[in-house]
Formats: sequence, structure tokens, C-alpha cells
Amino acid sequence: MIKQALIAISILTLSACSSNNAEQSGVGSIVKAQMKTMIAARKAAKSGVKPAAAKPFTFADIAKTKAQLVRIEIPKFKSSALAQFVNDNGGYKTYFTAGQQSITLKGSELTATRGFRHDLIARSIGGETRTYKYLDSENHLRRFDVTCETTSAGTEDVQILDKSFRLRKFEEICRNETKAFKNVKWVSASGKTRKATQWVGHEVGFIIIEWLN
Amino acid sequence: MKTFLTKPVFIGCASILAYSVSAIALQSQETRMAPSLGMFGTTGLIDMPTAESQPDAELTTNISSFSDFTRGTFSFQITPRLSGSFRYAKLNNWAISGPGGPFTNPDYFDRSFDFQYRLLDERSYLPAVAVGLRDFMGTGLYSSQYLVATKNLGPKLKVTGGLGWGRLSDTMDVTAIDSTLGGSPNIGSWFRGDVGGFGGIEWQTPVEGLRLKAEYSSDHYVLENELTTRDGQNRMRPAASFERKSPINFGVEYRTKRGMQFGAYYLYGSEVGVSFSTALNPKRNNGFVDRAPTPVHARGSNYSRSTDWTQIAGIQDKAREQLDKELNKDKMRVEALHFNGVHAEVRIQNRKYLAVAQAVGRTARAMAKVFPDSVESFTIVPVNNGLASSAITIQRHDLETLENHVNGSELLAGRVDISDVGKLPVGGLRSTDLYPRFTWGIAPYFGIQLFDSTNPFALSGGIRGTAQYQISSGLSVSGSIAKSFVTADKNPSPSASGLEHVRTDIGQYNLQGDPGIEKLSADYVFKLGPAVYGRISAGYLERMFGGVSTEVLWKRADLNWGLGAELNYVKQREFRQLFGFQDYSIATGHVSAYYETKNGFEFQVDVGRYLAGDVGATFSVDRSFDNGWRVGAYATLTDADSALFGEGRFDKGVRLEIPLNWALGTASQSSIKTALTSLVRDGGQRLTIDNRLYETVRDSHARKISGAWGRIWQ
Repeated sequence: MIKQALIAISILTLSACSSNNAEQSGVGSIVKAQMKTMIAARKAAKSGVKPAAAKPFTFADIAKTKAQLVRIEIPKFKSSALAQFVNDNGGYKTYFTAGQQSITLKGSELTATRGFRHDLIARSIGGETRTYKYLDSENHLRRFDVTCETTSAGTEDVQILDKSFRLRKFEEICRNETKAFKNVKWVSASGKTRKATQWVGHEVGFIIIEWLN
Repeated sequence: MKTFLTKPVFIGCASILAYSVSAIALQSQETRMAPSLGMFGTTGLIDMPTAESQPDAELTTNISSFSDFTRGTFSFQITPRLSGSFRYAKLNNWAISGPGGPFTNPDYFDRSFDFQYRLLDERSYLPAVAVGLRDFMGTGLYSSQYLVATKNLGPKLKVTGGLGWGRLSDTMDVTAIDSTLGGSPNIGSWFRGDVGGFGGIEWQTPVEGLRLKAEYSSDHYVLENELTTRDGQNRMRPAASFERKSPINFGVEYRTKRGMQFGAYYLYGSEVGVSFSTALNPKRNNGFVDRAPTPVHARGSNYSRSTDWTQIAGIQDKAREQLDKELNKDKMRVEALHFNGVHAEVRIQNRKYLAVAQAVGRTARAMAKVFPDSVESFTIVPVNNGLASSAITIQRHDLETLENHVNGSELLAGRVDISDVGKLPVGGLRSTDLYPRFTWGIAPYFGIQLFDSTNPFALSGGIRGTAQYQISSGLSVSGSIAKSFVTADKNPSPSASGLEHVRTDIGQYNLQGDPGIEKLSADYVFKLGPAVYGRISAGYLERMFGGVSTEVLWKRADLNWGLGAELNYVKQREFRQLFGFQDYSIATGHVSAYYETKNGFEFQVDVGRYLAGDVGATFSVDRSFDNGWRVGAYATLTDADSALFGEGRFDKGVRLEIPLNWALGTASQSSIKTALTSLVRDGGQRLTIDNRLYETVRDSHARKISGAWGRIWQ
């Protein structure tokens, strides 16, 4: 309740005219974002109507671009987006969404997110023991260690966009004393990972990544 | 030159990741019942304390009421073991007379401060043990001391037992009130006299969040019910507040998942009481959303080391322009730039990020994108309000190799250099499009006036116009005009202060100075050396005083301490708050020492002469969190005669600063500041200056940068 009061106070305080364009846009966007979210949530609650779904993408659409694309989905937030490759730093490839969020992949392994409210700052690669790094509310780094073991789980038909693929499935169980989660990968006969479900962190949960080209 | 990354081109209308504020709490392994708050707003049973502590840094606000008494208590868990509380109580139908004459107001308002320290942690077979002081420096109305032990018996039951002195001594013989002025620690009476026992149990019911309490209270509420005159005290009560029929109290409390607590109680065999609490904790946070940073543009193994590019005509302007464009995406600007073939230094204005480390990280990545491969190191200089505050130097190779390393933040922290910064090197280029800069704003304001003896809670509000003309880096003219719509006190009584009325005429300023010029001054901040900063301000410096204020600060970027001095000559402004002055003028000044501990506590001592001519010192301590939260307290002791000073005896208060990015979930440098000042009096008052040097440069120095270093890759 206090936090809501602080937000209200903040909006009231910030709802001001100003000559400062840069600052005004920031202030304005804060207010607008808050208002939009509130209005949208209120409308959705009242109408009970879900927003219309975007037109589904097809591999024909993908073929029209030279950009390297992945489709990402966060089941917990019921959201998805396309992300485009923008940078390679020593094999760590970073992809950006239109919403200015990014993920970084080493091979098919998620090693970082940015622009999410609770980002995966970094992740170790290789070895049975894996370390995840996060920021706590005081901007201090916190590590989360798990031990992982991968097993083959047969083959499955996997639907990606408008195509179905026959893929080998690998399951990776990671655990420590307080937490256990399962990552899944679907790999083609040529060894290319086409789809993966990977744990990001406690707040975000899992991310689904589909490699589109 | 490097080519820029191609802006991502997206096909279709990719849906943007929607983001929810909601967060999942880690599965708690806690098997003990969480500590709750009692009727005194501190961790406890009902009226009696327990030996538990709230979670570290917990801020709680509690309002409780029964019979003629209403209490509002603000508590802070200062360290994991030490908690402090500030309480404001209203006692209806209360009359008391003392040496200074009778108080005629039938409603009595009382302020009190508490401390509790947990001496021993709870073990398998041993209870937690704590010692506490309740109302240790107020009027002493609630003055009591205690030693208390609490033990959990399984996950749903806990028991508490303790010994109390003063009000908690379980006797009718309480000599608590030592003065009607209050304000002095009544040390002589601590843990003296009769001692009484108290205790109780708490039971967590099967209904989640619902608990029951029962206690034996050793507080006889003698003062509230005493009608007779005591020797030397001349206290009188017109009627008893309530009849204390029993020492046994019962309570039922419900705590929501969001930390709100509702309580209902049956007290002393005759009364019903209620309470409500909320909790905030700087350590609990939802994070904030910001655009992802530009990734590090790595050079590869066989990059060009040629510096021929430095000979290109107009290269300085071009580099500045490109870097400014990159930084502007994050509301940062290039203030100045200097580079050669192997090193580049940029001075930046950061208008977005509270954590300087985040601004540094984003600037370094922008530099890696803009500068050719031969540039091996980057120096980033945050410029705060015109003051170049520190130089953070990062090797480009480290930036490239550590970006994706699991320990990249920690390793980079060990390899950067944070030092003082001098003048811009010869050949450096200053941005010419930043100054002069005129900014203005109109915004509503509101204020809450608390804890006045006769009017403890009053709202004020209106609209304020501000303008600033920045002539050059460090030189500006600024002012503000305010018009109130809600006035706290429409008929302010004249100040009865025995000192010069440097603050207690606030009611006259509010009444006559509406609308009024709050401030109109010219400010110049500058550097006298790499670690020496200066400020000169002149004009109408604040609502009540105008004149000249000068300040100098010595603070090395790599040290956690500094020294400063301030000298002012000011004259009191007229009540109308236009351009005139009253007769009173004074030279004031302080020398100041600043010290930051590694665990986030900041100490400050200011010694000097205050506005009323009194001489003394202000002691401040703030717990500063690396996410921008600050919770602190201060006390000013001067040679002003305590009788002339008035109620409260000396100036003291509690202050709180909450960063907006914590509340809103969006990057912002702004914060909400509030202060709980027990009473505003004329003694121990300093000029209100909003751009003092230490606060200006502090966040760009090593301690603060390293504290929030985790944001370097954000």
C-alpha cells in the first residue's frame, strides 16, 4: 500500500510542465507508462476481452530477411517477441527485440538477459556445476549455483512457426538444495538446436527460444 | 572509423515483451513465526516487547489506539540487531501542570524515541535476548527499560518473558516524568528502582496470517489514571482515562502477504484497542526496467593499431557528435572530449541513472562502438552540476573479455582505476551546444507539517514554478516562485521563541509571502584542485534568508572521508518574500567532516555557528543503501539556553530518501525526500542550501561507485 502511495505521489509530483525536453520525455513516459498500464488493465478487466493476436509468422516471412532471428517466449508473462542478432563478442551472440530487450547466447545456451526487470547478469558455461549471477535490490551481485545433468529423451515432433520438425530431445536436470528445474533442448539430426526451454531465474522463470534461420 | 551497428530491422509486428511487476518470492525455509508489531509500534506482543528483530532495514509505520490514547510510530531496523523508533502520541482529555505553568490544551501530544538491541540470537535450546529503552529522551511519559527473552516452540508458538523498569516495573510507584520540556536522555533513571516481570505467548492459527496473542502487562498506566498531585510535579488529571481491571491483555492480528498488519485487542479488562501497520524494506525490490545496453563491440584478435585516423580533418567534432548521439539514447550527454590514438577521455552529464556505475558501463560500451580499434583505454568523468567529480579508467581489452564472463563484474572492478580528475587536457573539445541552457518547470507541491504542539498534522500544498539559466558549466542563475492553495495555518500565532526567530516565524512567511519568491540566486561551483571543490552562492538563498554563501570541500575520489567548510553572511528576508529584508543579519559557518563506512553508514559532523547565533555541532548518521535509499537521523546540540530553545530542547529529527526508480520501476535519478523533525525551533538551524558540495560529488566517488558496481553491465 505504501508503495502504491509512493507511486501516486511520484506521478503527482512529476506531472509537471517543463522546458526540459529530455527530462520531460522521461517524466512523461513514466506517467504515460503508468497510466497506460493502469487503463489497459482496467479495460481488460472490465471487458474480459483479450487483445487480438498478431498475424502469425511463417518461414516464408523469415526467408525475406537476411537477419538472424530467434523467437523468444516467456510463458510466465504470456509474452513473445522476435529478436534479431546484433553483436558477436567471442562467440557470445546478442539478440535484440523491438522492445529493446536483449538475450545473449553462447551456442544455444542462454548466458544473459538485459532490459528485463530481473536480468540474468551472467552465467557460466561448461562443467556440471553452473553459476548464475543476478543483481539483488541493493545492486549487489548474487550467485546461484546448481549442478546439472543431461539425458537424452528420444525424439519429438516440434512445431516452430508454420512447420513441424522431427527433433531429438535432451533434458537437463539442474538442482541444488533449494531448487530444481529442467531445461529442454530439441536438436536436429545435423546437430543444430532448433528450440530450447531454459531457466532464466526465480522471477522470470523459463524462456523458450526458437531458432528461425 | 568503425561503422555503427545497423539498426535492427524487424519484420512483422513482433509483439513486445510485456512485463509484469509481480515477482515470485523465493521459497522460504523460515519455520519460525515472523515478528509482529505491538501497540507501541515496535516489535512486540501487545503492550509488551519481545526479543525479536524485524528483518534488516525494515521500515514500519504503526498506528494504534485505545481509550484516550493514539500512537503513531515509525521504526527502522538500523542493523540486524539494533532498531530505533520515533513515536508521536496523542492523549485526549489530558491536562498537566508543571514548573513552567499549566498546559491548558486538553489534548496532549508526546514525542518519544526507543532503541532495542538484540544481545543473543535464538538457538535450539536458548531464547533470543534483547535489551531495550522505551522513551529514553522525550518527556519520559513512556519511559521504561527492559530485558526480554523470546523462544519459538515450533513453527506456530512462541513465548516471551522479561523484566521491566520504569513504567514496566509492575508497580504503582512510577516516577517517570522528569521534565515537561523533554529532549534530554534521562540516563540517571535507567534500570533503577522497582523491577517487574512481564510475558506472553503468540500462536499462529491454522488460518494463514492470523495469529492470537496473550500477555501479562507490567504497565499499570499510573500516569494516565493518577488524579492526585505529586511532590514537585504538580501533575493533575481531570479524569481517569480508563479502569485497569486486569493485567492480562488479549489480541488477534491478521497480516497480509503484502506486509500490512491489522490488530484488535482486549486490554486491561476494560478496553478495546486497534492497530494498523505497514512495512517497507529497501532490500525488497522489484528492480526497474530500462532499455538493454549496446553490447560491447569487440575488436577481434587482429585489430588495427594504426592511429592515422587521428589526422582526419574534423575528427574531434565527428567523434564528439557520434558519441553524443550514442549517449543521448540514455539521456546522457558529452560535456567534453579528449583523445589521442590510444586513449580517450569523455566527460559526461548523466541525467538518467542513479547508479554512476551504470552510466559508466553504458558510456564505456558507447566508446567501444565509436572509437577506432587503436584506442586501448577509456576514461569516463561524471560531471555533476558542473563539477568533474572523478575519473574512471577502463582498459578496452577488459571490457571486451569480461562482458560475458560469469565473474565479469567482480574482475572488472579489480581492474578499473578511480581517481581524482583535473582540468581537461590541452586539446580537449568542450561541447558548445550544452550552454547556455534555460530550463523551467511548473509543478504542484505538497507538504505535511508534523508534530507541532498545537497542530500535530497539517497539510499544505500549491503550485511552484522553477527556472534555471545555466550560463556555463558550473555557473547558473536559478529561482522558484510558489503559490499555495492549502495553507497549514491560516492564523499563525506569533512566535514565542526566546531566540532570534530564524525559523519559528514560518507561519508569517506562509501567510504573508503567498505568492512569494522562494529562491533567486546565482551559483558558481568550481574546482580549486583535483580533490578540492568550491561553491559561491549569492542572492535570495532560501525562503527566510538571503546573502552570500561560500563553501569549500576537500574530498579525494578514492577515500571514504572528506573535510569541508562553509561561511555565510545572510540577512533575514521579509515575510512577504519579495525582495526586502528585515533587520536581522548574521555571519554563520561550519567546518564539516564526512565519513563513510564499508557497510553503508555515513557519518557527518558539522561544528560552527547557527542562524540564531548559537554555537554548537550537528551529528548525523545515515544508513545509505546502494540502491539510493537513505534512512538517517540527526541531532544538533548548541549553546542556546534550553529554556529559551523551547520544547524539545535541541533540534533533532529523522529523515528518509526513497529513489523513484524503486517506487516506479523505471530508471530515474529523482527521489522522494521527507523528514520527521520532532519540533522546528530557532536553535541549531542552518541555511537551507540545495547544492552543497559533498552531496554533489559523493555518488561519483569510489565508495558509491563500487557499492552499486553490479550495475556496470546493466
